Amino acid sequence: MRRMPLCGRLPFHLFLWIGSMTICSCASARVEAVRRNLASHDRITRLLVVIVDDESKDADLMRASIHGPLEAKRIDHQVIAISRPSRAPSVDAAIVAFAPQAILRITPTATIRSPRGARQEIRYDASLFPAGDTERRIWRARLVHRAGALVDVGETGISHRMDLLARQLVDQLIADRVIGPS
Amino acid sequence: MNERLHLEWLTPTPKRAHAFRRRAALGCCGAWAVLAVSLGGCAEASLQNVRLGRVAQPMERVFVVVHKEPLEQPYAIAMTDALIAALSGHTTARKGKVLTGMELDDTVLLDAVEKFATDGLLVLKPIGGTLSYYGGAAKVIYAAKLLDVHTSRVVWQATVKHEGGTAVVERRSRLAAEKMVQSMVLAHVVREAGL
Repeated sequence: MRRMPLCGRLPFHLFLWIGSMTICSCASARVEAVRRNLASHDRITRLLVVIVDDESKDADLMRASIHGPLEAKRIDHQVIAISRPSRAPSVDAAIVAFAPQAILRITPTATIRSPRGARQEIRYDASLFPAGDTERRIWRARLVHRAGALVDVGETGISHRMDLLARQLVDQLIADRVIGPS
Repeated sequence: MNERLHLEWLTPTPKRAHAFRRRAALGCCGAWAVLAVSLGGCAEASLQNVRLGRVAQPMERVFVVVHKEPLEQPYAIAMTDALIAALSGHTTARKGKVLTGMELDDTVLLDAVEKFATDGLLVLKPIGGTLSYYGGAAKVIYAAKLLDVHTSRVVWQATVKHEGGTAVVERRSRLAAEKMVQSMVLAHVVREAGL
């Protein structure tokens, strides 16, 4: 079989690269707009992470993704996923069993769709509360998980972006001196 | 012969110039109309999943809170203004506030609510939407709740959508606000206008 000469293959590869860049452009995961009120708090070493499930499969992915960075930073933690109600019985049970210093609640707040109907951007609210007082936030951030211009957020590379988002979230909490190794 | 005819056709006369100007004016008007419709688009609003609670008497003082995120500020401002305008005939006093959704606690909001001595707290949170091909929000979905401040119970709630051109956000918001207030009137949460 005759192979395409190099000069013919190069534009073909370039075309493929430009095409994939166009389809997946602007895919990102970032932590933004962080607010904190930590005047009277020591660094948290024991953390309960509560992920609110909005009936998509993203909560399971987030659950799997956040475990790694917390483990790597040697922070005692437990991760649970709950459905919509803000105060589920499983949270109370986990608080009693695990005795955390604080609760990090991650809630999906909005889903933005592209004109084609694909999920283009998902926003989460990450709020940290002392274990005994879920009315008083001590730290808050907005997490933005964005797919490319033409793909659904759940289709391509979601686990990679969830890992990135979880790592950035943990890094931000450490940079803000909110959590630290035990 | 043909050439002469052609040249005659091109020669401007007052009658031809007038006809040309008229056609040009019509063309311009048509182009403006098409452009205005394309940019503006039509506005639509709808309510879904309306749930009603019980209220002892229609609310007279309503505090409106609209969350901004993930939309841009003008959407929240337009919705707040539209709700205040729509509630004007149905309540004696109303006030609005836009929240970023990044507040650490509700102290500021609760203080404002207390100072206003409100009966009802109407909260709108954008929970989704669809982008247009040009980047604006062609469709916005809000979760709306009206709380009775005296009993701390939800007395009215609905999923509110407004959609259409991004240049008619005020009109879309006004339509959505009017539908919400109509639904609240039917539920006797606020009184009918003029009563």
